[in-house]
Amino acid sequence: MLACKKNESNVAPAVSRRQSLLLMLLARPLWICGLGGLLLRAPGPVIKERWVLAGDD
Amino acid sequence: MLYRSVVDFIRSGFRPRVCIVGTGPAGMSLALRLQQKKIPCLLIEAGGYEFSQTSQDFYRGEVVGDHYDELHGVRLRQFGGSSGHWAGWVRALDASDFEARDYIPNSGWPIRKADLDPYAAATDEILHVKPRADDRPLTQNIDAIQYRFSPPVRFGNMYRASIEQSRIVGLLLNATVKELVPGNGRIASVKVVEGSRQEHELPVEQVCVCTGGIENSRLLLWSNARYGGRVVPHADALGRYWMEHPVFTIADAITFDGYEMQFESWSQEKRFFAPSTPAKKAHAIGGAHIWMRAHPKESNQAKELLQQAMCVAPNLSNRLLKLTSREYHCGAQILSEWEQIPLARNRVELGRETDSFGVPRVRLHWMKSDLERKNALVSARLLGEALIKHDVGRLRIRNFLTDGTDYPNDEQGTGRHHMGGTRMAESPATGVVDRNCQVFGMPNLYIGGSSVFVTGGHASPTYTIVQLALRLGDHLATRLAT
Repeated sequence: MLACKKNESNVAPAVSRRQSLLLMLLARPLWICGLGGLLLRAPGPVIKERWVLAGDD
Repeated sequence: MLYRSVVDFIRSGFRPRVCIVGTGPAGMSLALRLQQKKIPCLLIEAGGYEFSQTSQDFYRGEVVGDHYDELHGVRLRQFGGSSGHWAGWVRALDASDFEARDYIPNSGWPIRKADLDPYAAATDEILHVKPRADDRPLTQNIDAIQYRFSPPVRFGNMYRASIEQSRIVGLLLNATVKELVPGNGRIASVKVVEGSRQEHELPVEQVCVCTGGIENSRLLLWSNARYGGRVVPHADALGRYWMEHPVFTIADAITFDGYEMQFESWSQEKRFFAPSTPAKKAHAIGGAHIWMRAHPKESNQAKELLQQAMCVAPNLSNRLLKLTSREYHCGAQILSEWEQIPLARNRVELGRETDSFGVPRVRLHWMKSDLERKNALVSARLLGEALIKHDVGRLRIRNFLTDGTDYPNDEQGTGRHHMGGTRMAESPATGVVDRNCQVFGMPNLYIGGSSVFVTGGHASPTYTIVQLALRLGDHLATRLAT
């Protein structure tokens, strides 16, 4: 199961419903980065080496 | 027995065989053990029953090196010592913490975990903790470990009545031991200042200094300076090899299945991750424990993590997008507390300023080393690999660990655990006290508390402090019986 646990606590959701629907429509790996960045407006450089990822990620 | 003053104590005719300086977890546990053994002892506490800013002022000092909190705010000078503000998490040191490790400079205790294990049950009782559960491997490199929770026991509240009612343990409050006075190759007396600055010299048979991980060094350094090195005859290591536990957020994680939520509800049986013993050896790192905390409500961090994941991991991003089709929270901070390498340069020394009794204030030299940075970086990577193996999340390491920039200064930064300064050793060439916590070359001077630690592992020190104090009590009982 990959679904996140439903947010039943007082912890804020990671993204809003509207944002996630937009992302679903645009879900294509190669250009999602730029659009995702535009939509989510997250700061800071992206450095892949800082991530600990699986081979098929 | 509580004595109203030093004069009251002198007139009482009570003749303690052991004088214990300090009433924190070390001094109080030692007194409780001696009480069990029917050995008369006197507890001397510089503070009173309650917190006092005037008393705390004696703890002011200077820190040279890395950012550190004000020294008068990170410990308590009152009955019960710093147990008055501790969080209550307890864990014994691991067996590997006692071993000499060639990749940890100056490591290796003269005792082993097996020397302290016999005191575990009594320590559990004093700290009111439940029996421990075994650690279990999560992967080959990461263990799931248990920390236990003490209510937390405030020694000043918990044991005040039993000390006051005792006919074996005497107690002096608001009495500062200013100096240890040598004579005939031993400690002949302690110089005590009462609140009014009236000085008294009390003869002693055995003395145990239990004033905390900074003050133990200060009292010995000052006494040694006053009496030409006759208090600690072998003082090369005195004040040195001081250690803390660095505590920082080392990574952030995207988690699946609300994995991070498991950590939110554990108030009393908190679960931690830790690099396994084989992993520590293979990667040449010290100990660490790691825990998760859901990103704060106001935080944008989970959103930012998701955005970056889309850039660096296309397939993962497809999975994450499915997860985010509903309003879920999937982000967590990864925090760690880890072992600091004992280095001679990290030290307590006497500063130029003095307190109102004329005793030099502390100047603490303290810096983290490259080995500490490596410890946190490797721990984060190993946990990231464990999250992948169990397919419960992905982890991004904080940039200060990967690019070598300064540690963040908006976090607490340490566990406020003061260790070393009077370290235990096989010989006076490398330490201050022997395996029985006796100062080398001083037959009636003992040290209690985390200042005798050779290395600090990653566990909070209170549990080991109590174990060592109980062991010291047994040693003194045996010695005084012969």
